[in-house]
Amino acid sequence: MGTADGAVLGTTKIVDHGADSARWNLVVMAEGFTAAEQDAFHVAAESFVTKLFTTEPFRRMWCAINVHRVDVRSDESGADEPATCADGGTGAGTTRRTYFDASFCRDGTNRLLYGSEALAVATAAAAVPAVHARVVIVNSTRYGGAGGSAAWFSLAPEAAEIGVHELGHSAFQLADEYGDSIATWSAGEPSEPNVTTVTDRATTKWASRIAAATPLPTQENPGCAAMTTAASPVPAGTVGLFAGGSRAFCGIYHPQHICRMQVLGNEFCAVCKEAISARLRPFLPAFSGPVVGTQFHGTLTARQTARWFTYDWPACWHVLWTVVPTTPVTPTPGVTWKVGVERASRERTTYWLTVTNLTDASLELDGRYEIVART
Amino acid sequence: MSEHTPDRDAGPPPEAVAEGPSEPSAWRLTFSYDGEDIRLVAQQRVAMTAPPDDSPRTYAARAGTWVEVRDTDGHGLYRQALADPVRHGYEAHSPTGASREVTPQAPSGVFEVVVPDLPGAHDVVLHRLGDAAVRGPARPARARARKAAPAVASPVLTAELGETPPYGVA
Repeated sequence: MGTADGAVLGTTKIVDHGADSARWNLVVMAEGFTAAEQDAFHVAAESFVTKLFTTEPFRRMWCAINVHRVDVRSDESGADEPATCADGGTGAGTTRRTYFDASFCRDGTNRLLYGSEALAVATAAAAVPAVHARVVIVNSTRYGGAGGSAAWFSLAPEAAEIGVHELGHSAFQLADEYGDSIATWSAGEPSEPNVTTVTDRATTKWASRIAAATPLPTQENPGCAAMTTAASPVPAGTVGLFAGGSRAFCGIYHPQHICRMQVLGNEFCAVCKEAISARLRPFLPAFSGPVVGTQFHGTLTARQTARWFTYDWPACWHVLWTVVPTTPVTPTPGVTWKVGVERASRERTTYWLTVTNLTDASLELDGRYEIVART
Repeated sequence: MSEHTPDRDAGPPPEAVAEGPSEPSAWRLTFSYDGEDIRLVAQQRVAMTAPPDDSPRTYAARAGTWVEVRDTDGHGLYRQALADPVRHGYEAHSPTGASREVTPQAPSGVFEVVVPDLPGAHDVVLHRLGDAAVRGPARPARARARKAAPAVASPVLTAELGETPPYGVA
């Protein structure tokens, strides 16, 4: 198993918001996909990118992000599945010759799925030197995944949630927001932005987001032996101090009753969203504009209406359109125009300019753009 | 009455709009660990943008791991918080959304940190604060013994910044 069982085939930038040196770069790699299955990997990679795009705050910060797909061929399809696992789980009892040597039943836990972290890190850096984060998609329909320097997840429904949650850890330094095996946290104020030991209303980590009427602590875990199943004592979305975090039930708090860092499938809470946004904000395009120019020139006869379309504009650009008659003498009122915007793809827009000549004479015109910002 | 004509193709946009002056440079630091033995195995200069500085929350923290860039006088220039880079546990997730931690039998792995190439930068320091045992169940007796950390950052590793061959795995 390992590099002798496959090869890196190539890298494609599938989300392009500009130079890698200035953007936050995510690398998506294939594991357990044979040469004939690379198209299937492409579909899976695109699906994960779409998932990120539709997840806040990634959608709002999308212009900061490049995504690179690294096609990796494995000699065989899938991942290792031990027949039995220490936790009582079972598998197909098969081993597969794959590039990253991914296996279920890691550390005796059947759903724990990962391969060689060192190889994933090295492969991503070789493919995209400006890499900031990595995910590996494993060609198996069994549910599984893991975190670390790369986020690993299978093709099973809901498994991509593992990728998003683990990116929350590895790329954005978010802590888990649940208790697991520690009764009471005793290590002092943690560095992660979404957990705190400080309950003082004025000095707690996200004090600015807590309304004066919100009780602090907002909810505890009675007995410090399990996460409470009680309903939130405050309306959904309220930011407060809810007990549980970094594997401890008590003595440490997270911001909202529920968050993706507590239970997969939920939105990130407001504090986690801001932490992710703060991390991505420096990678948003810098802009020394505005930039102006003429996109088209045309002629309209008397009272004529025509529509121009211009395509493949980056959705990150804020573009204003003006239509100006260039005929020296234009009877009033001249021209009028409407702008339609079509989101042609995730990263591209098409503009439709419908222009009407309001005069009784032919005229020539310019369609002019002004790029006022890039965000 | 106005006459409506077929749509007219105005073409694609102009070439890429100048993004503004940017010649970012950063250091990619590759660490490997085997249990509590952490080593800096590679350093590379890379044309990329490093994550923003985390100094405020690391100075306020009493638990966590972070990398610090220092000048020749030992003054801190930049800090970046890390989320448990030395994996004492993996999360086993479930389709229902609930998760639980699993302790690996022999924690080992690799992590990378990207820090900015700052004027005057000379050393990189890996800090780890707080008792690692707090973040997981008791480790096997065969693991290297580690005392509970005091409430002052203990550098785990200090190294001089400088290019080394890229890290790779045969």
